[in-house]
Amino acid sequence: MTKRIRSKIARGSGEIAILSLLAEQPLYGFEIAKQIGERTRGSLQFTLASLYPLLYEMEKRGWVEGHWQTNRAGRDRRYYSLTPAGRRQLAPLRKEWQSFFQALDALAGVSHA
Amino acid sequence: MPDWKLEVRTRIADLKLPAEVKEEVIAELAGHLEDIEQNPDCGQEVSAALEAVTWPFVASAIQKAKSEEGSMNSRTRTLWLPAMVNLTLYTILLYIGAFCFDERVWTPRLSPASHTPLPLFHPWLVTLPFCGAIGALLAKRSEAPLGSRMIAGLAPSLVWLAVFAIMTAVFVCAPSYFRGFPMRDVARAAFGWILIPALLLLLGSVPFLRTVRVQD
Repeated sequence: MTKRIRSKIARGSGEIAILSLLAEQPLYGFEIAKQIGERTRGSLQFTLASLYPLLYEMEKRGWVEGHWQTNRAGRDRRYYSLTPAGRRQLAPLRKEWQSFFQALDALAGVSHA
Repeated sequence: MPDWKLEVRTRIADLKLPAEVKEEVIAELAGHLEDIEQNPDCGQEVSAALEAVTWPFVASAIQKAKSEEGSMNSRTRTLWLPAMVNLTLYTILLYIGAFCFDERVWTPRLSPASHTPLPLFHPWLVTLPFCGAIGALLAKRSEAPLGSRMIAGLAPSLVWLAVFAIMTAVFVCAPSYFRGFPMRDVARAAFGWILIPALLLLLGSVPFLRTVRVQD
């Protein structure tokens, strides 16, 4: 698999992971990375370098919006929440990934691997 | 505790963004490092996190993502621009046709006494799947959802639908404006201007309405 394809898959999976999490509740960057890591048992991991450029890109597209708020520890953090456009984006993205995995499964039997 | 803002500021000094935006980015990244430090159970060492980052790459990626340049409004990029390109192409082709062919047989017109020719036989119709395809393709390339891709593909017919809706409203509210134009001629023109072109535009759009893709 070329680096470019890998990068596209990573980016696409990052987008759906972030949108899915933010559909539940607004979160700030560190919490997003932490929850993705925990829920995928470490399979998907975001570093500072991979998370913020993607968040800013999604913000520019109008899928998420950030606002400063004080967290439970009393520190100011930039919380991200889903916009209506982001919410609309989620369903087709889920469908696309489902189709993608079904296609991959039909081709390579990945779900039985 | 290290001054994380200073650590980040030093590393992304080359980031060329408005001062206010840059400070916000620095505060956010510094907060992230602070959280890593405060949460040893998160599985990351803050020093390792700091060193693992290729800062010039991050600065470049953030600059690209934050930059106003090219940050066209999402709806403009996914809907209005493809729709306008489609509509412009549609109009240009119509005028080229009117120039090359006899306008009376080329241009469907609203005229009384059932002189309204249906554009069904106009060579211009042959070009419409291409217009629809361009609109839907541009929308798809900008990662538009299905609805936007369809609207971008059908844009010219939707514009005509709006025009005819207004005409119909005027026809109903102020029939004197349409004296001598039987309603059936309006309906006939609508059929020629909206329905048939819409079907052809849709024909061109179909290949771009349903695809499996991996996000860029």
